[in-house]
Amino acid sequence: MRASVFMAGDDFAGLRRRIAEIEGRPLGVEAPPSPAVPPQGPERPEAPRLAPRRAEKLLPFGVEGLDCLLGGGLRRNALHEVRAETTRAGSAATGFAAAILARLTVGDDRPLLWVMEEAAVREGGHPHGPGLDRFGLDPGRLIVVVTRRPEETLWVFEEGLRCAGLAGVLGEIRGHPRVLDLTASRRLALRARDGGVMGILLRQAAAAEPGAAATRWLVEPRPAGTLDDFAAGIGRPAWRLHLERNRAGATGRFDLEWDHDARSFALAPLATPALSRPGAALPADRPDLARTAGTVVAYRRTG
Amino acid sequence: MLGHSPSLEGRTATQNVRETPPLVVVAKARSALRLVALDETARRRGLHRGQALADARAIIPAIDAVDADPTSDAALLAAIADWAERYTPLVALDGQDGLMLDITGCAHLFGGEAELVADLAARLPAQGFAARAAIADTPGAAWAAARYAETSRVASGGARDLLVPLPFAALRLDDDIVAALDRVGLKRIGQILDAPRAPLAARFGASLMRRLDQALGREEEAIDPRRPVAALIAERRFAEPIGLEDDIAATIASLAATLARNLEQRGEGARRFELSLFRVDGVVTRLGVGTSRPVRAPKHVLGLFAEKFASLADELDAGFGFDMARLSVPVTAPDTPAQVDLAGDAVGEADLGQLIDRIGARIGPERVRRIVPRDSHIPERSEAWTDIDAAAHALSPGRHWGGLPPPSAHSRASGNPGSGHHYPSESGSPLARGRADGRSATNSDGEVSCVRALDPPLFPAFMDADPIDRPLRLFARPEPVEATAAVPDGPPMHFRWRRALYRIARSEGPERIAPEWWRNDEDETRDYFRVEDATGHRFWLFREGLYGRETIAPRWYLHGVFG
Repeated sequence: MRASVFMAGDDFAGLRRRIAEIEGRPLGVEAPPSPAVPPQGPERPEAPRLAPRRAEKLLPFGVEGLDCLLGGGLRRNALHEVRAETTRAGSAATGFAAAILARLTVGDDRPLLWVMEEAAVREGGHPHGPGLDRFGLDPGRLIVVVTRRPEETLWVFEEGLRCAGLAGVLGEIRGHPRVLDLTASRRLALRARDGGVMGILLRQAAAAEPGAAATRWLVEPRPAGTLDDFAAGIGRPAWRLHLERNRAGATGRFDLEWDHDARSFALAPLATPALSRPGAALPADRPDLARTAGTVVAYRRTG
Repeated sequence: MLGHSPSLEGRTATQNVRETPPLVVVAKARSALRLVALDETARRRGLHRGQALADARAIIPAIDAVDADPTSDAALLAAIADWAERYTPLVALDGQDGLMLDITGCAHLFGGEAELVADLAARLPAQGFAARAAIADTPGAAWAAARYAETSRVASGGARDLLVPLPFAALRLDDDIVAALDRVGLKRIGQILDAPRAPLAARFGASLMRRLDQALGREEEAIDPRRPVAALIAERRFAEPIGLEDDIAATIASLAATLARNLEQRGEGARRFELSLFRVDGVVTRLGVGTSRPVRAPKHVLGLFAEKFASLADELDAGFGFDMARLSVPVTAPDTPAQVDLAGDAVGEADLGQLIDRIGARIGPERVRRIVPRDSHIPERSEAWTDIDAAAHALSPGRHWGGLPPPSAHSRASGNPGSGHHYPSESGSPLARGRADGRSATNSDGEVSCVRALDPPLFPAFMDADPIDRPLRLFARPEPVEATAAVPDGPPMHFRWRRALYRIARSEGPERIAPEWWRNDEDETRDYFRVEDATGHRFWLFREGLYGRETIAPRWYLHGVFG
């Protein structure tokens, strides 16, 4: 009897470990998250490591509250869903997803796969090399696959998740194609878990649907932050993120800014100074052009 | 060797019953409808090629005439040529009704030349073609034997004996040369074989002697194969036709294993594989897969073809089965074995190559792309989408994005006058613009090159990080919007895009991009603005045309969206 009690104590830890493993949670993180978990510090760009894939399983945001909620960061071997309600918000969702990809490439020299449908390219535009470059994501690391149908997109996505030569896969789907059901989502999640490649399912113009992703984010646009105290300008990209689903803990809402130079996230300041202030004042030595040149005219499309 | 189908109506000829009227094919030549091909019945009843249809009708009123269709004939001949590749990879088209096969080194696979030609002579009629075939040392002799002699095989060195009794037409000469020879009483090739050459050449032209030499093997003559010869070929013939996908897969695997050994000996890998499946009824299906790097592993090859089959789905019709399969390697590349480090990096690269190949085989290699920079300031021309190979080439060090120095280099603002690219005012604030105008009198109309270059100390903080001045996503065609803006060059205040109205809260610009004058097209100057509406949607708009100089009604377009 005594012996069995003794064993039970040992088993308890083992059981916990097993449960954490089954649930795909890092050990020691309970749901709801306990503040006792030390959040990993913001990742600094360091010298490239030899084998990044074995180094760590989490991709921290570098934002304390958010990392804490996620149990340290986004899991690398998992599927994450990023969605935008409308087509026009799709650019914001693309931005957030691209920012995660950019974080993935820090200290990891493997390429990224971006697979998208023709319809998504038509509606939302194609990835623009110079823009990606400014954003902090090296376009040379990207392999872009444009497919005809969502079935093909899912197939390429799944193949990509199996490939150890990739740092991450971004799959972009528009609307609610029938092929992207719970089964397909579960398949992708399992592939990501087994392959160890992070999968980001970017869904444009999509309502919340049940899925097997480890996290699901709703991205809404938010006025950009400032850059170098130039309030009138459009500075760092910012988004309003709703963490709608989180297997590792509670959900929440965050306003994040993206520092494209340092490739890091930061909490956006609550009030945007640019909005509370009008544009720069007119210089005294220059006449107001708009007034002297005539009234404001609306140009219609001709032909 | 030469296979010759003398009558295009061969298919119908064998089906004709004796009682049916003669069938002829007619085409317009020398201002009359003339017979270009005729079936056995017509031939027996005295009709001949080149005869006018009216004359033929006078002899036999009940004649069945159909119009010639050279396009279909050519397609049929090409299909027969495909089929003939089962004998040799070197198959050339010969005129409109013949094929020339170079069977050097191939005959033993069929048990010898006689067996090969017997096989050919048995299979073609089985498909409904009337054909004659002959093997000889030279293309010229084979041509003559197939068309003008009864023999199907000319012994080695027997070309001279063959040619002696044949008419001059057997030498592939022009009609007028044959007619000229005929006029002086020369009917048979034997009459000139031992005659002095110089007078003959002087009188009838050099082509007579050249054709004679070619037929006798005194002059080299190469045939012109339809398709390039693959570096390596492995093939298998089946006693019983196969049709199941599993059987085909097993065949591919074993052929690929054979090729892998050969490739390894050569120290090469394949960049492309081509599978030819020969169906029993003569149809040949070709499937090709490309690889992103040299490949040998049979498993990988099989995987690529599996993807290809999956994408074909129902398009591949096995019919009554395939009786031969051939796997060829048209393109090879040196393959140096990769050193696998302890972290397994080389494995990852190989993995990636296989992934790209698989995707390419399934949905098309042109759909797997990389973005490479190009030297242009016009946004849509500043990048190119290339396949993986070209990208690896283009992404050599020294080339970087946007034609500009890398981000956070301070020299960015110095405009390059030759490129037509200016940063008129980075901030777009009237203050900045005013200062610039005040400083440089020559640039009175707004084409100021750069505020930041002029006044670095004014905005010291600017030097830390560059703003994101290019959109994350670009529309292939700029989308027209209805915008309201101050004339002549104010930023937009609100605009309507896809039927929704956006009120602009902040804007930066203009960034003026002049058209590339050396391209000689009708582009106008563009003023780009980065704008943001109150809710945080960020867009890249431009106004096309300088107000008052290039146009009186500038148009607005939305070119991209920011993340």
